[in-house]
Order: sequence, then structure tokens, then C-alpha cells
Amino acid sequence: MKKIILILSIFLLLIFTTITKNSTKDIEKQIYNTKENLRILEQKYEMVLLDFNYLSSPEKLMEYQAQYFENELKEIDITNLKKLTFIKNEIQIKEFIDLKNE
Amino acid sequence: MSEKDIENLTLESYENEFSFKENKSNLNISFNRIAFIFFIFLMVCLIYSIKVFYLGSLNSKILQKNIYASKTNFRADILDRNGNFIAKTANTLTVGVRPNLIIDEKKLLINLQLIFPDKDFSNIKKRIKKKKYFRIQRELRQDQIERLRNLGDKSIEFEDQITRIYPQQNLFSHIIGQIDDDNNGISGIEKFFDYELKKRNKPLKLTVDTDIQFLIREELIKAQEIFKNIGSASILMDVNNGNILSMVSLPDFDLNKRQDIKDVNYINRATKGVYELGSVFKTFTFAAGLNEEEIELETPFINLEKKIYCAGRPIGEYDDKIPTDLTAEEILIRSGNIGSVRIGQKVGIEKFKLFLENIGVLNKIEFDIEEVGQPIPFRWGKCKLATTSFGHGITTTPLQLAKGYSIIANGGYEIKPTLIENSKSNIIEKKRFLKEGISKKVNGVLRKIVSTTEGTAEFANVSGYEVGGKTGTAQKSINGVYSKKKINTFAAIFPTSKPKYVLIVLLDEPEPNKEYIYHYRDGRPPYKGNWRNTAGWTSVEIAGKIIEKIGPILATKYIELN
Repeated sequence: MKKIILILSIFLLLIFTTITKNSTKDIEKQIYNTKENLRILEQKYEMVLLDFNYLSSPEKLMEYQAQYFENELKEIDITNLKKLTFIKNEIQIKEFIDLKNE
Repeated sequence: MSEKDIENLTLESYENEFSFKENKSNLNISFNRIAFIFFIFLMVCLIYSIKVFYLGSLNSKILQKNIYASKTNFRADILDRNGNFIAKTANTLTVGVRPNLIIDEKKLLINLQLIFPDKDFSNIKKRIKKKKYFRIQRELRQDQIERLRNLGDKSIEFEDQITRIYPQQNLFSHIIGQIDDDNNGISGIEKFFDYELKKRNKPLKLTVDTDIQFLIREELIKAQEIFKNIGSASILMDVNNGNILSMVSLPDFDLNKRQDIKDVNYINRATKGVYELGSVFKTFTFAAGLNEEEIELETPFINLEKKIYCAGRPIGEYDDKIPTDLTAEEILIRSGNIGSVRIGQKVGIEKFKLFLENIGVLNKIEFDIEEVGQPIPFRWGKCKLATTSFGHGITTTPLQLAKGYSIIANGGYEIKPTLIENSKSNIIEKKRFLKEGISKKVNGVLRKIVSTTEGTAEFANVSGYEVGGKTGTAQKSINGVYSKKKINTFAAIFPTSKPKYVLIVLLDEPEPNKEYIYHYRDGRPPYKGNWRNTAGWTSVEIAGKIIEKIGPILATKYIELN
């Protein structure tokens, strides 16, 4: 009886080890594939970001402004800006730029 | 046998029995050899074991870094403080021809001509005859790669290479520098951090802001059109940590074009240019006087001469209308030369020299790029003390001037100018060079230079930013002789109630523009026809325009939220 239990347990362990190893292999494959996909996506993202950086560079933006929005975009005087602070459901309005020290 | 014979016999037998014979054992020799070989083997095992333990104890990150170091076609990207690309590496292919593998030369040349119609094929023919490998085209396009591969010619070879792309073109040329064809940095950050860029797996993040850099460069270009200066420089730095938000030097160059620049006019004026900066040094004399308790703001200086002589050389006032009786504060506001000499004399050579050394304007500065100028050394004496007190006969770089003004403005704490975000060098135990309250007093006087009509910098009085600063107009020294050409500088700090930024604007050889219309910031009618070639009428005007443009970004983007 003891022998049978011993052989059976060894056999079961062998099967379990094989199954675990196989599933680990599958997971490793998936991880590798995901990493590769991620690498490609990162590369693509970086290239898109490079394009974005170039197209939205200050020089280009000024070009677009002159081309399309010359009369539409207006400069705002920063001294007219206000700072809003929420204190216990109340809004406190302060000058954004404090002109007291002027 | 007689008794005599027996004696002789015994003697003979004794001699035979004790004669020496070397006892050589083969077994013993073999054992020594084996022990020796075993010892050698043991030592080898020991060495390898130590190496195995050493490798086992190494951090995996270090190993990973070493793997990166072994990559030849790699260079980390460079970003600005907002994560925008300043330099980006792209992998490209280069095509070359190996002439000894060519089967049909005519066919190959026709095909290549179809793919690269702009190439000079007479030159390619000559190179084929030399029978040595040569490159035809770098940075191939995808369609060119496909067409070349479809030719199926063994003599055509592709090489993996990296290409550095600079999306901001000229904007950071002096900061970033260039690399050569073999991926080695040859100037700027690319050179100083060459090893780092080749091995690190994360991009290098700088402290500079692309938008601010652009706006400052635009204003400096406009200044060049107005004042016809041959070059200019500007530095914007955080006074509390030395982070440089912008550093511009004109003229600059497009990094993507990879030019071989030899013209000295293209030097980085902000860090490499060593100049006599004139009256901007008076702030240091004034601060040294206050710090050494030799003067107070209201200390009177009575009967100041209009001209004094030192070793036969005259020292006079730039403005003859300057009163003869002034307080220490008024001397700085009205930029009095003789008054500054008197303050310098009160401080004394040793203390003044130590003060200038402490704020970092006398000796060469350690920085994040190699293009750094060395202030010209000189021997201190009574006359040298007099001239250095008002900023003549003493040289430094605009970067060091920015550092000096930062220390004066931030309470006297040491800072190290840097271009690298989260630089380790920034985490230093901050030494304090100024006594409590000195900074506040100096900042107040600098504010008056800008805000009052007696001051020399009213064009920089941009509403809302509490600008303070000091002007400096100096004659340019060419080959050791003073010329009529000028170096006009303005060193500004803002806001003066709690300084956060220092801005240096330097114009190299500006000329007055009589057609330019100046708009006073206090509501007076505009003025045209200026003939004065001083910092107050050139650099200050430009600094005012710069602060007007960058102020809203600094006030909104870098606001401290409590």
C-alpha cells in the first residue's frame, strides 16, 4: 500500500510539475510578446511625440498664429487676472499679481 | 690471520659500511609535482570562485547598465523640463557598395542612378575603381531601402546608424552642442555627458524651458535688428537653486545641419565669453560694504571728487551731473564711480577679494558644459581695488555674473548653476556668505534703480513683476586696448520682495538707433532720436521686453501653490 501511495504521489508530482512548467512557458511567451509590443508602441509613441514637439514648437505656433489667427488671438494683461481660492464653500478673489510693492 | 691483518680488515669493512649514498625515491618526486600542480589548480579555482561570488553580489541594475554601455548605436534622448524633445535619436540605415563583389557594374550604376537621381555618379565610378568599400547615402528613406533590397545585388551593403534629430533647430544650439559621425559628442551637453548619454537608458532631462528660451531668443534677435550688435547673450536662472531656465547666445546655428563652425563670433557668450562688465560690479562693492559693516544705506559720502588719479591714470564719473554729496544707497542708484571707489576702499583689498571669490565671479566656474571661460587673473593693489570697485579691470563670464547676483538676491546662500534637472550637485550643504538682512537691503536698492527716475534702468520697470537690477556699460577691450565699442549689460532680479529669478542681458557692440521709438513705462510720451550708447538705453530696453513676454509664463506656470 505504502509503495503504491509513494509511486502515485511521485507520478502526480511529475504531472503537476509538467503542467506548471508548460503553463509558465505560455505565460513567459505572453510576457515576451507583450514586452515586444510595448517596445514597438513606445517607439511609435516617441516618434509621434517628436512630431508633436516639432509641430507644436513655439516657432511653428507663432507661424500658425500669424497665418490663421492674427486678428483673433488677443493678449491678456496679466494684472487683470484674478486668483480664486475656495475656503469652506466660499470663494475668495485676490489679485493674481500683487501690485502693492510697485 | 695475524692481529695486524684483522685491524686492517676491520677498518676496510667500516669504510665500506658508512660511505654516503644519496637515497633517491621516485615516489617522493612524483608527490612533490602533484602537490605543486594541485596548488596551482587550487589557486585557479579560488580566483574563479572569488569572481563568481563578486558577480553574484552585483546589483542587477549595474549589469543592465553595462549591457547598455556595450551598445554602440545608442544615445539617450535629451528633454526639456516639460518633457519636450530637445534631441532625439533615430535609427537609420546607410547604404554602401563593396566594389569587389560587383558582377555587372553598368547595370548597378543605372539602378543606383534611378534610386538616387541627384548623386554625382562620376565620383561613384571613380570610387568603384579604387576597389574599397564606400558609403553612398546616409539616412535612407523607407522606399529607397525597399528598392535597394529588390535589386538583390551582393555588392550593396546596409549599415545600421543613429541619427540625432533636434526638433527645436537653433534654439538650444550652444547648450546641446554637436556629435560627430561616430556618435561622439564634440561640444556642449553632448560632449560633457557623452559617456552618460551612451549608457543611460532614460532620457537626460534639462532645466531649460523651450517656450521661455524661444521668447528670449526672439527678443535678442529683435535687439540685433535695432542696435546692430554683433552678438548677444541672456541667462535666466532660479536664484534659489541655480536651475537655468534659459540660456541664449547669438549668433547660433542649426544643430541638424552639422556645420563645422570655426568663426569665433559663434562662441557661447553666456559661458565662454569673458568680459569686463562695468558698473554691474558696483552691486558687489555695495553688498560687500554692507556685509562688512563698513557702510549703511544712509552712510553719507561728502565732497566726492569728479576725477581722481591712480598711478597717473584718471578715474572719472560717466555722468558729470552726479552730485558731490551722496549716500551709499544713492551711489549705487546713480551708478557713481568715485563713490564706489570710496566704498571699495572702506572694505579693503583682502575682504573685497574674499567677497568676490565667495560669490564666484573671480575664478573659473564648474559647469555642465565644457565651454566655460576663465576670468583673466590679475594682481591686487590699491589701483586695482579702485578700478574693480566700479567694475573695470576685472573680467568674468555672464554665467558667473548671474551666480553672483543670485547669491546677493537669495539671502547670501551658495548656489551652483546647472542645466541638469535633479542634479546631485544641487544637493549641497548651502553655505551662507551674507549676514542676515543684507540681501533685503541690496534688493531694495536694486528695485529703486529700476523704479525711480534717478536710476538707470527705468525701461525695465514692467508693471506687476517688481523688477530690480543694475546696468553696466563697459568699453570693449580688443587685444588689451580699450576701444570705442561697448559691452552693455543689465543684471535684473525679480520680484525684489521675494527674489525668484535673475536675468542677465548682454549686448556685444551695440550702436544707438536714432529711429527707434522708446516707450516710457510711467506714461510719459514716447521718445525718438536716442544717441546714448549705454546699457540703460539698450540692454535694459531689451530686458524689459523679455520680462514682459516671459513674465506671464513664469507667474502662471511656475507659481508656488500653497
